[in-house]
Amino acid sequence: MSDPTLLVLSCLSDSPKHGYAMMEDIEAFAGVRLGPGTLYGAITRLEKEGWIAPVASNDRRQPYRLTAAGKRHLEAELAMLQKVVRTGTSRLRNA
Amino acid sequence: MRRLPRLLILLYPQKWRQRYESEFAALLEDMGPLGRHAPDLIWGAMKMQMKERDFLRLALAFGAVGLLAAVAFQVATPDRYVSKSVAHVTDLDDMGDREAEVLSRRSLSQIIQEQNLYQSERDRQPLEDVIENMRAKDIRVRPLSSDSFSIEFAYRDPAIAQKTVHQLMYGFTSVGAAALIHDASLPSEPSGRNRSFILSVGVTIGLFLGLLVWGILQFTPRTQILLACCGAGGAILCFAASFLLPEVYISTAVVRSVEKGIAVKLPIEDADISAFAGNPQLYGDNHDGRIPIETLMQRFRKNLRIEKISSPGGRDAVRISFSCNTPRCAQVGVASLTGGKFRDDPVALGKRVEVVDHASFPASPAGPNRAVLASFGLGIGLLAGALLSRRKSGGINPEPSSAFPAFEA
Repeated sequence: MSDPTLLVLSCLSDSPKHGYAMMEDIEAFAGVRLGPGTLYGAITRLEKEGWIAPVASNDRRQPYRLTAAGKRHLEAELAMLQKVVRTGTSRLRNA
Repeated sequence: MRRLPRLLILLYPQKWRQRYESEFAALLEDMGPLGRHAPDLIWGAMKMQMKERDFLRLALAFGAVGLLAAVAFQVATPDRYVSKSVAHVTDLDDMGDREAEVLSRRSLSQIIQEQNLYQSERDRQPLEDVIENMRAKDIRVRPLSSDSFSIEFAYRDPAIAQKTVHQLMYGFTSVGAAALIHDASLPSEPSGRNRSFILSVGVTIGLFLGLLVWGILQFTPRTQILLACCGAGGAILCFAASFLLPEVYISTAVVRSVEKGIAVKLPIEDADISAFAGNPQLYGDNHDGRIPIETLMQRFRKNLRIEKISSPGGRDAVRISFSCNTPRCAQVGVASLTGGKFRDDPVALGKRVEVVDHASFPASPAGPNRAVLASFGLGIGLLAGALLSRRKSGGINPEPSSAFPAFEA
């Protein structure tokens, strides 16, 4: 799985994080090191969709949190992925 | 913050920077050296610019990418060092034979082996081709005056370039044909590749692509798809059609007068051309001799090109080129004029002209240029797509929407 928007949403699902923390976390749980352009492309898109929002901060490192709409979208995406995983696994087993 | 990341951030749209620049810069500081992430940052900027539809910035972004690609090309291409030696001609009569001998395949093959030149090229190509390239691109024998000349050799290692020039010049001095004025130099700086030209080509191509993408983005999304399909279709069609065109091979040879003051006179009278063009070994479609001789002569003259070139000792010299559909035909075409022999065996033509460089066997075709044809197809396809979309609905997007409503306020 390498869709940057899904990776960012999953990354923010437990707590707000700033850009560098997102990069580190995504690398740790998905083994993918997002480049700065890709990460901020995804952040821009997700914020535009209203799925993430900036958290008030005095630091230049701007943290983001998952919004309620973002949580719903992530749940829907993960449910679909789980369905794909289940189907694929079951078909492989029967092949 | 370091200069490069700061410059690269400027590639992003202004509206985007107003919203994200500070935190984006903080991220880049946390990351440390950009290294392999620089292309990702540039690509991200290009995508943002494409969404923003700002022509100037888009063109600049593409231009910057073209510039970076040109810089990368220059960095990836090894530097070449040119060593030079100058000599005085002491025996003008022997110069022609000496030059032919020094630049012969046998002599150059020996130098390549002894100096261990072109290791990687020899792994990929036959030695014959390596020698041809060495002679055509890396060695320069130039007349400086009526009685002096220079030898230059360009190579990626300055010490080897010097040794090679020394060895080449020794071919003239060892038999008394020339006396050394300046021994082979040891170049300390790489030769001036035309850096500004390469950079300007990169920027121009980048700007052109920026203009192209911007133009496509001015249309509605539906039309954009139509344009992309027509452009890609045109490029693929022309590229595929190029394989239907006959390949063109070009063979060349250099001939020179044996003495100063004697003009090179090649056998190109009607009677000569008639004999050459009628040779059943020349044109494959005339193996049965059915094509009228007038047609063959016309074709031969069209394929043949003769141009004057400079030669040491002020003697008259010409380069003969012959283009044909097969390498064999091209070589036979040139060899027709140089006496029928085209290997390391100098042939005197009427004892007035000698062959310095024999008819080459072209290993790869000189045409058709498939990249140019594909680009042409792309242009025609885009034009056709634009006309088609206008005919359908007027196509131009009257109100392009901003890509960043989230930070427009």
